[in-house]
Amino acid sequence: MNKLLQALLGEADGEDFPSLSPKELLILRALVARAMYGQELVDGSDGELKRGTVYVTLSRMEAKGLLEAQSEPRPAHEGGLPRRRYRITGEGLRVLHAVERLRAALAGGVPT
Amino acid sequence: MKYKRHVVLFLVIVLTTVICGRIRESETITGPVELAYGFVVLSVLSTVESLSPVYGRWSVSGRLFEALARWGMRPRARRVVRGPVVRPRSSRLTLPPGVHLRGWLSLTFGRRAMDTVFDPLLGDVCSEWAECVGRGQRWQARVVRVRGYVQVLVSALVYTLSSLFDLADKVRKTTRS
Repeated sequence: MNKLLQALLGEADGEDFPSLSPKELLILRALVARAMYGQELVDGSDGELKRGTVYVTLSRMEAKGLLEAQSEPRPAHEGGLPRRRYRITGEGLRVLHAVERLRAALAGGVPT
Repeated sequence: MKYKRHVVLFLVIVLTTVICGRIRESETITGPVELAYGFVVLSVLSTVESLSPVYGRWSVSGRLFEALARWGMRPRARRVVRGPVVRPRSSRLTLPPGVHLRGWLSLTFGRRAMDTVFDPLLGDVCSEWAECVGRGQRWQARVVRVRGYVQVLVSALVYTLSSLFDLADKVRKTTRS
């Protein structure tokens, strides 16, 4: 699929297009609207994302540059570890739009 | 009345005996209180005795003082048996989930794994746990804690497998080139 995406986007001479699994695509779609915590992603996925695996996926996406995370310290009276809020990057948006175009092309024919 | 003082002394002795008997039977009177009662009674008794013509021949207060001195001035108070100190539920301190577990994880996994996988997971578990505690749902908070531990275990397994696959992929690419 990556080669097809590169051909569609005219980026065959560029760098490798990042691979995208269905779960990563789901996360990117969820993060387009607003930045979210991992727990919110799991709660809003109707069981498609699991809490035990979503953080590994988010870590991998962060390493690819599709996401960026911001650590938010907790209130002093609550204690505990800080939470991380994830938001999509420009690269992530670009990849998401490319995948959406590919899907649309495969569904309705490749646009000329 | 010639024997008036003797009658008073007799009554005081009877009263002292009764009071001491009541003190002995009481479960709640502790040592210092009994000692204070004893000194008050003995002071009254010695005062009355000093007025008595028989003082010095048989002094009850004198004998009691001698007895107390032999016992090391310790009254024979019954020991009040106290149960274990139990704090009320509302004042028990409970640490958020993952405080100790994070230390063990940091020994096993690297900084990147801690920053990107385990700290966010534990942070979200802490948040959910704090919400349950804030609402007074103690059992739900316990469930969140146990579920968080299971999620940490699953994440550790998945992260380890993912790291192994990445390593294998790098080795494959290196050997191909």
